[in-house]
Amino acid sequence: MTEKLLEVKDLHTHFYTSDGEVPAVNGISFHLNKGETLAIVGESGCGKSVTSLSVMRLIPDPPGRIVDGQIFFEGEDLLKKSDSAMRKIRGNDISMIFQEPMTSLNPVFTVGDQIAEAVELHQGVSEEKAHKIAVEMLTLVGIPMPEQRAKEYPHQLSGGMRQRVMIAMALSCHPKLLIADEPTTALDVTIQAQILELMKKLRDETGTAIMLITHDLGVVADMAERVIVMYLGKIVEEAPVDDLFHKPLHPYTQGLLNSIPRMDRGKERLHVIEGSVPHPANMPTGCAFNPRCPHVREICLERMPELIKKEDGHTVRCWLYTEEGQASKAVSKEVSS
Amino acid sequence: MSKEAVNKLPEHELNPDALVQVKNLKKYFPISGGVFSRVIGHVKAIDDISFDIMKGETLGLVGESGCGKTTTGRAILRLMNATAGHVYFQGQDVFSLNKHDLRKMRREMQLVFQDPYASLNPRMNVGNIIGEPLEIHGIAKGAKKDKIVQELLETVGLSKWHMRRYPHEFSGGQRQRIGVARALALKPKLIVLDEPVSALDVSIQSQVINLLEDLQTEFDLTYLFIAHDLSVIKHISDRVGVMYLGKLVELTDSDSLYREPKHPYTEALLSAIPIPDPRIQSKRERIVLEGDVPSPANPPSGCRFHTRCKYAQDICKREIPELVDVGNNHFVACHYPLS
Amino acid sequence: MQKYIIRRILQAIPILLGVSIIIFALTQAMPGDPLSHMMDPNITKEDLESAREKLGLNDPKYVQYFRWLGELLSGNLGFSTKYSKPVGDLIKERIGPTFTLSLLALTIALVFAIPIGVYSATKQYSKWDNLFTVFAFAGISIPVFFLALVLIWLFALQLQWFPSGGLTTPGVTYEFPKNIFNMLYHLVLPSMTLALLYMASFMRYTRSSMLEVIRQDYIRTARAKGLSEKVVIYKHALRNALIPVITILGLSLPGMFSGALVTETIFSLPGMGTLSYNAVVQRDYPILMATNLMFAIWTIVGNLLADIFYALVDPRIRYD
Ligand SMILES: Nc1ncnc2c1ncn2[C@@H]1O[C@H](COP(=O)(O)OP(=O)(O)OP(=O)(O)O)[C@@H](O)[C@H]1O
Ligand SMILES: Nc1ncnc2c1ncn2[C@@H]1O[C@H](COP(=O)(O)OP(=O)(O)OP(=O)(O)O)[C@@H](O)[C@H]1O
Ligand code: SF4
Ligand SMILES: [Mg+2]
Ligand SMILES: [Mg+2]
Repeated sequence: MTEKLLEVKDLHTHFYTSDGEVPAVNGISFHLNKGETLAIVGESGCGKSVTSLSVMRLIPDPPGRIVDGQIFFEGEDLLKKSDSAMRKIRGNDISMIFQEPMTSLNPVFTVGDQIAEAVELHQGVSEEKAHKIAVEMLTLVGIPMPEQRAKEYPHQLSGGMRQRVMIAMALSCHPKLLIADEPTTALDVTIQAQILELMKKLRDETGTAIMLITHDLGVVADMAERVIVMYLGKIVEEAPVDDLFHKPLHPYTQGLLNSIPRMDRGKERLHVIEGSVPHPANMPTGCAFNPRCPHVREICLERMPELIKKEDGHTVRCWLYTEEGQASKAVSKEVSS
Repeated sequence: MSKEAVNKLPEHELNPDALVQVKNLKKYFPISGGVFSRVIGHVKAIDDISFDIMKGETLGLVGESGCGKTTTGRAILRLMNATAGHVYFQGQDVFSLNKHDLRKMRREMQLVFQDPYASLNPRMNVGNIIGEPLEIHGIAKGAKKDKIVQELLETVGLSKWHMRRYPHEFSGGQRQRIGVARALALKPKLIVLDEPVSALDVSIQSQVINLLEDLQTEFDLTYLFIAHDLSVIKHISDRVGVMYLGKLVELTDSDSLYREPKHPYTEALLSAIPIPDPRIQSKRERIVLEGDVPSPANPPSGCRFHTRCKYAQDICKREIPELVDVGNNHFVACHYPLS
Repeated sequence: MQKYIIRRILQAIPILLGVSIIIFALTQAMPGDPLSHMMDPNITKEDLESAREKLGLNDPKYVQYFRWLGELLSGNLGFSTKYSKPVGDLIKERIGPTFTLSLLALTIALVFAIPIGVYSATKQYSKWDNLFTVFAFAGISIPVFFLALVLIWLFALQLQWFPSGGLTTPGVTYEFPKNIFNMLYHLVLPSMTLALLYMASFMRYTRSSMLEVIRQDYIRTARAKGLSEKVVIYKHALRNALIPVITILGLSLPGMFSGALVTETIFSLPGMGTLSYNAVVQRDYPILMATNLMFAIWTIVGNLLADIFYALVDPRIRYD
C-alpha cells in the first residue's frame, strides 16, 4: 500500500462577492500519494486554482475563505496549524509554481536573491551558502551561465527562463509536494516541451509528488498518473490516466475528449458540448452538468449525484451509473446554447 | 489615384485559382532609443514572405509568439502599411488602392480578433456592433439593418433577442460568435481569423470551430486562419504555413505537414505538442529545442533557425534558404529538408 | 549609472537656458520698471533718462539678457536696490531657513505618511484606514494659511508650547550652527504646517500604490515561499510600491517652495518665500529673476533626483 502524502477531505472554499456567495470549491475530497503525479483538469473557473491555493492556505481573505473541510499533509491537518507553523511548510515541504511566469517574480530583486531567500529561510544556511545553492538550482533547471543569470533581474529573462527560475525556486528546499498551476499555459509549445521534460526529469530524480493543474489534456496524457476532472467546484470523475482517456465515464469527460481537435486524427467533425459553464453563483439544481448533458434523466434535474466507485480507483459523479438513475425517465430537451 | 492606376498583377504571375497572392511582403517596425529617440534598429516582424491563398480554402498560419502571424494578417488587409512587397486581391494590388477603392475592397476582406473581450465596444449593444459595418458602407439602415442583424445572429447560433444586449452579458464563446457575425455582415470573400479560439475553453473551442466550418461551406468563404495551436490548425486548414522569426519556413497541405514535415522546425514543433492519449504520447519521441527564439530585432544570419537546429551545417549560417517546392506543392525553406 | 546621471545633467542645460530666457522675458514684460519705484517722483526727466542709461535699461533686450546671464554665471546675481545688498548675499542668508524648513517638513511627512499608507493598504476599509482617509482628505482640502493659523492658535496662543513666528528668539541672531536649536524650535510649527499638507497626499499615494502592488502575482509567490507577512509587505511589496511615490516626491519638491512662501509669510520667517514675495510686491527685478531661476533650477533638480532614485529602485529602467 502506497503512503498518502496529501489527503483533502470535503473541502469547501467560498468567495463572498457582489454576486453573492460563490462556492468556488464545493466539497471535494482527493488524495495524493508520495511521489505521484496527479492532474486536475477542468474548464476555466471550475475551481482548480482555488483548490491549490486552499492547500497552500493562500486564499485571499477577503473575499475568500475556507469554510469547511480538512487538508491532511503527512497526517496533520493543515487547516488546524498556526500561521507560523504553516509558513514553515510553505516553500519548504509544499511549494508552488504559477501560471504567469511574466508576473510571478518580483521585478526589483535579482533572481538569485529570490531563490536564495527561501533557502536561507527554511534551511537556516548563511546568505553566502544560500546563494551558492541558488546557482546550483539554476544549473539544475538548465539555465546557461547560471552565475551570471543569478545576478540578473526578471525582466532580463525570457518567459521560458522565468518559469525555470520559478521551478528552481520551488524545488530549492526539496519539497515533498510541488503544486504546479498551469505551469506551461503561458508558454510557447517548444518552450512548453522544455519545461515538461524538465519537470519529468526532476520528478524522477527527486521523487517529489506533483499536483499538476491544467486544462490541456495533452499535458495530462504526457505527465500524469492519475487524473481528477472538476466541473463547477466539484469532482465529477477520478481515474488512472489510461482509464480516463480510454474508458471515460462522465458525459462531461466524454464530451471533452471528443471535442478536442487532435493532430493524429483526420478532419472528422468535432463533437460539441452544447452551452457553456454557468456562473458558479447561480448553479443549476440537481447535477451541475445537466443543462449541457446529452443524457439527462429526470433525477438529474432534482438531485446532485454522489461520487460512485465504478472500478478500482475510478469514480464518477453521474446518475447513469446508479440503479436509481437507470430507472429514471430520460428527459428529451432542446439544448439551449 | 485613378482606377486605371491600380497596379494589376502581370498576366504570367496571375494564379486564377488564388484569391490572394502575397509577394515578397516585408514589415519592419522601427525601434527608437537613445537621447533623442532616434531609430536605432528594426524589428523584422515579417521579412520577405510570399504565398497564395486559394479561393475557398482555409490557409492556416502557425508559429510561436512574435513570429509575425498577426502582422502578416494585418498587412494583407492593409490595416498597417507594409515596408515592402505586394498583396494582390483577385489580381489587384491592395497597396496601390486609393481611399475610395480601398473601402470597397474592405467589404470583401474582414478580420476576426483573438480577444473576444477587448474587440467589442462595451458601450454598444450587439445590434449596433454587428450593424455598424452595414451602415458605414451604406448597405442598410433602420428596420432593414435590424432584419439582417437578426439573420446574422441566427446564422452564428445566437438568438435575435440578443440584439439589445451588451457584450458583457455574453460568455467568451458567444462574444466570439458576435465577432464572427460582424465580420459576416458585409458578405466578404476573405476572413482573416487571428487566433479566434485561443482565448476560449476547450469545450467552447469546438463550438466555434464547427461554426466556422459551417459558415465556410454556406457562404463560400476563404479563411486565413492564424493560430499557435497546431492541433486546431491541422483540423481546420486545407493547407498550412509555418512561420519562424518573420519567415515562412514550410507550406503544404495539412496532412503532408503532419505526416512528413520537411523543415526541422516543423518537425520539432509537431513533436512538442502532446497528444491527448497516454498510450500514444508515452511512445512519442520529443525533440526538445535548445534555447529561446532569438530576437526579431537581431535575427541570426543565414537560416534563422540555425541556432537551434540539430541538422545545421556551415552553409545554414551563411545563406538564407529559399522557399522552394520539393514536390507535390510542398514548399520548404531549408538547405537540408528532411525526407 | 554614472553615464546615465551625467547624461541627465547635460540634458538639463538647454532646459535651464530656455528657462532663463523665459524668466528674463517675463520680467521685462511686467508693467513699470525698477526706477519708477525707487526714484523721487519729483526727479526731472533728464536725470531719469541718465539714470536709465547708466543702469543699461536702454540697451537692446538681448544685450541686457546676455549681460544678466554673464553676470549670473560669474556668480553675480545682481544688486538689489531695495535692500542695497547684492542679491547673492540675500539669497545666501535666506536659503538656509527655507531649506531647513522644507527638509524638515518633508522628513516629517515621509516618516509618518509611508507607514500609515502601508498600514492603510494592508488593512483596507478597517476603522483606522477609514480614519486616515478622512484625515487625508481634510489635509488635501484645507488651505495652508488656515492650517497655519489653527496651529498658531492652538500651540502658540493657547498652549504656548511653541513661538508663533520668527526664525529665532528676538535678540538672538541666526548664526549657523551656533543657534541651531533655537532655530529648530522656531521651525516646529511652520514645518508641521507644511508636513501635514504633504503627509496627506503622500499617504494617499503610498496607500493606492501599495494596494496595487499587494494584488500582484509576485506577492503571492513571496507568500508561497513561506515568508512572514512582515517580510512580504516591507521587503517585497514596499520596494515596488515606492517607485511611483518617488516620482510624486520629486515632482512635489518645487511645490514645497511655493508652500513655503505662504508658510514663511504667516510665520514671518526670513526665507526665500518671503524674499520673492516682497520682490514681487516691490518690483525688485534682480531678486525676482534670481529667485525664479532658483525655483526653476530646483524644479529641474527635483526631477533629476526623482529620475535617479527611480533608476536606483527599479532595475527595469535602462541607463543607456
Ligand atoms: N479572488 C477572487 N475573488 C472572487 N472570486 C474568485 C476569486 N478567485 C476565484 N474566484 C472564483 O472562484 C471560481 C474558481 O476560480 P479558479 O481560479 O479556481 O478557477 P480555475 O479552475 O483555476 O480556472 P482557470 O482555468 O481560469 O485558471 C471562479 O468562478 C471565480 O469566480
Ligand atoms: N506595432 C508594433 N511596433 C513594434 N513592434 C511590433 C509591433 N507589432 C508587432 N511588433 C513586433 O513584431 C513581431 C511580430 O509580431 P506579431 O504580433 O505579428 O506576432 P504573432 O506571430 O502574431 O505573435 P503572437 O502569437 O504573440 O500573437 C514581434 O516581435 C512584435 O514584437
Ligand atoms: S536550413 Fe539548416 S538550419 Fe535551417 S532548418 Fe534546414 S537544416 Fe536547419
Ligand atoms: Mg486557475
Ligand atoms: Mg498575434
